Amino acid sequence: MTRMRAVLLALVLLTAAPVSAQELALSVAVSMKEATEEIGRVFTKTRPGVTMRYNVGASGDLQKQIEAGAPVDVFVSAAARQMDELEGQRLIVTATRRAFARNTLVAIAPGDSTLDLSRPATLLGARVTRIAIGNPKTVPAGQYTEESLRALGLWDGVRGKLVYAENVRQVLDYVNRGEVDAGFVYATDAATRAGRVKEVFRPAPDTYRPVVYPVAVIEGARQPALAAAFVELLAGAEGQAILRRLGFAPPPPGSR
Amino acid sequence: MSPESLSALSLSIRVALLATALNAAIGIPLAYLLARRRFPGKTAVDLLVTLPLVLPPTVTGFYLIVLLGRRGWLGGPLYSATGWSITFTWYAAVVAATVMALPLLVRTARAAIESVDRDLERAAHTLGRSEWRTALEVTLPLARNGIIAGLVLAFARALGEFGATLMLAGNIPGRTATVPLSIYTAVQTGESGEALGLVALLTGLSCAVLLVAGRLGARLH
Amino acid sequence: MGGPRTTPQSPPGSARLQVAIGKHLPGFALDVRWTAGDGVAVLFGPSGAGKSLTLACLAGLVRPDAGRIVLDDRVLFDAAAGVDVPPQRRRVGYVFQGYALFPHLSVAENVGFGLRDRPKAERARRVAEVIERLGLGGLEARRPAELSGGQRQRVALGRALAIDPALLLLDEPLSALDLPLRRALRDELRATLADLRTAAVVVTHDFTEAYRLGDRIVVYEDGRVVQAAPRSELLWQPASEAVARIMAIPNVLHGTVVKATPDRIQLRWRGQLLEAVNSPARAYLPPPDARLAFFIRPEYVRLIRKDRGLADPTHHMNVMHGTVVEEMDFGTTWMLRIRLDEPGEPAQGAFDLEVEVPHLVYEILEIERDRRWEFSIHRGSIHVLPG
Repeated sequence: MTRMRAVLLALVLLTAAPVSAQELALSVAVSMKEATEEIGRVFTKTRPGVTMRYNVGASGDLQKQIEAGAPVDVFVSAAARQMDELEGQRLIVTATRRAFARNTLVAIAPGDSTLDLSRPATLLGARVTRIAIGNPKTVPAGQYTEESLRALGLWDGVRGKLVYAENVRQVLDYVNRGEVDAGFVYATDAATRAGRVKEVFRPAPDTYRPVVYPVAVIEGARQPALAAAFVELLAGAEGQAILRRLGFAPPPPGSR
Repeated sequence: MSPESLSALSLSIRVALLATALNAAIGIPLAYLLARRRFPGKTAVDLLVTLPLVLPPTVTGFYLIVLLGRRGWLGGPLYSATGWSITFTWYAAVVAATVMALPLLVRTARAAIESVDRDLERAAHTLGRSEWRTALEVTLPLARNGIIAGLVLAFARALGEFGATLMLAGNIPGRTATVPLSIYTAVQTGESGEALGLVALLTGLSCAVLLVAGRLGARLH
Repeated sequence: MGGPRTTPQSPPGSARLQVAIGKHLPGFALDVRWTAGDGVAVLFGPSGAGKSLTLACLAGLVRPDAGRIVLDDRVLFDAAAGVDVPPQRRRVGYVFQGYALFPHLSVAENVGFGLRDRPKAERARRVAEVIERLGLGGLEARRPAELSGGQRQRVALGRALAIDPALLLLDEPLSALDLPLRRALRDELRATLADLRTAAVVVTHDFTEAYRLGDRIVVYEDGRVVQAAPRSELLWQPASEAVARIMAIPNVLHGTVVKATPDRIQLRWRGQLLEAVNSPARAYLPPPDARLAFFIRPEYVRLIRKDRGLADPTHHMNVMHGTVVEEMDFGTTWMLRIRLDEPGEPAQGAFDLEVEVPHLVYEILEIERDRRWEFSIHRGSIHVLPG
């Protein structure tokens, strides 16, 4: 590096240092990872000196962490239930809670699979030996999948073939690697591995509750103002445009 | 105790017993070879056997998937030929437990074998015993206590195996959810009562195993 | 491999065991050649000289790099021909230095260990026979840990003998025992070995043991054989100063040759003119003024009684005068260190000669009080060491 550049870098670091004490910490559900990061980049572009810190995981895990006192400012959940529980314990700033996106369940299969999986009932076929879903106990996507499969009358038939994953990305990984014959993920997840997995069908939307993503500022956040501003961005035009592009639908009216 | 807990316990014990039996079959001869023979590639074998002890269990789990997964080096051909894959079955739990516990057995057994006076083996040779028979009649019986201690340690390790099991076998209740995995799920879902029960179970079992190992170790001296 | 001055060995026809082997180890090279006939051959020498290594080669436990081992016309090893009979098939009985008894087996099981391929009845019979013979009756069910040192040694011997070996090897069979036991067992071992017709090779670093147990002694130093001879020959005619040193012979001295004939050698030492015997068979004739090594056995120096007047030349040869400068009490004997009445540096530090006198003589001659002595040495007691 040339002398001049070195000096400039030092200057930037020195001047930036005291200002970058502004860090916004977010706990983000796995399926919202890419979207949140992209919106975060937009957020920091107009706020020099602010850095984003993302803690990504299954909504259930994230909820537990917040209950245990994790120092985060914003919680982006993949299901209402986790947010409801936190709200019940007064761990979020209720006034800031909103639903900002909606996702769709899709069934996927390995890209090179030769099985006919065009309809839900094909999951009962003998050649389908393993189906990956998120663990319904802890993964919202798994809960929705179970709900849908029950509504379709397939739950008992496929139960013995189910392989539980710890989060949606793991389901995607199992399908991607060919370890399972099919899996259930969100449409937005399937998009990230477009080449290696293929969508085979979408369970009818009326077989499961809407997959609504709530966001809220955590009670006792260190950066409440910044947090609130981020939530606004998420729900606002710019945020929504990005979400649309990534495959998310707008939240159902009246949801929070 | 809930039926899930009982099924997890029964699965864990089955897996640990089978893993220990496999380890005995592979590990004792391996320990003997490492203790008494020189052969090309010995250092590599020694390293390979010790790796699961020092690598994070998830790394070992990763290697097992590469090897045994549906598209793995060994698992792939198997799946193409038979339509069957070991992943997400309780056999995978056995494999994970075996691999993770093997180094414990091999190291302990090897030390026990190395401590047997080589003059005893030489005496047996002059008295007509082949190397193989000498191992069976002299070396291994005299290393017996150390070998048993190694097996007990391996059993305890297999019982508590988590990381590699999770990766290769998944956490499927009733099928591959061993006690450690069930504890993990119980904690994640906030079922602290269930978790506590399982923790107490595993602790009790491990203490019993350690006590036995300690007694055997004392008898060695 | 044994120099030109090695004493002649038994004629090849009577040699039951022929050994000629070489082996290279880091920092050590073994290169030995010797033979043994009937009776007991002893490999004698300091620790680390290669004796135990040789035994291991004889047993087939170690593979030499080169050479040949033949026992009773059976080739056990031949590097050139690619023959290497495994230890299991050599029929060699080996008594290890620490006995190597199987701690998890009883005395009877230890003794019978090599008899596995015999029918059960015959095995039991043979075991009983060996146990009886070695005085181990009553101990059949005991474990080695419950036995005394002497009993363990006998079990080790019994185990080796039970297989009716063609060759018996004993590695320091007595060194693990304490002194009184060692002497008792030494004689017992001698008797047992004499009874057997088996060829035996014993390793020891103790000369008394070597002398007592062996008929033939092969002296090892640094991986080589420096002398192989019947035991008396070794005792009285060590082949060189090096051998004398290994045997820890005292009074190894150096003088100058005056004249040498096949029967006698005249030499000058510390101003004295001494006469020693030579051995015509040895054909050792050093030129005058040559440097010479010789030794005088301490127990053969005769102090001359003062009440009997001057020394009689026919009885007393090599007469010298000296003073006792040091003395050591060994219980049954006294060791005196005498400095000659001769100017100049004494030959061995503060003294010239070590003289051994029995207690009785010490008291009668009142050596404690009277320190000045005249003494003589018969020419046959001055032994010349070829250089």
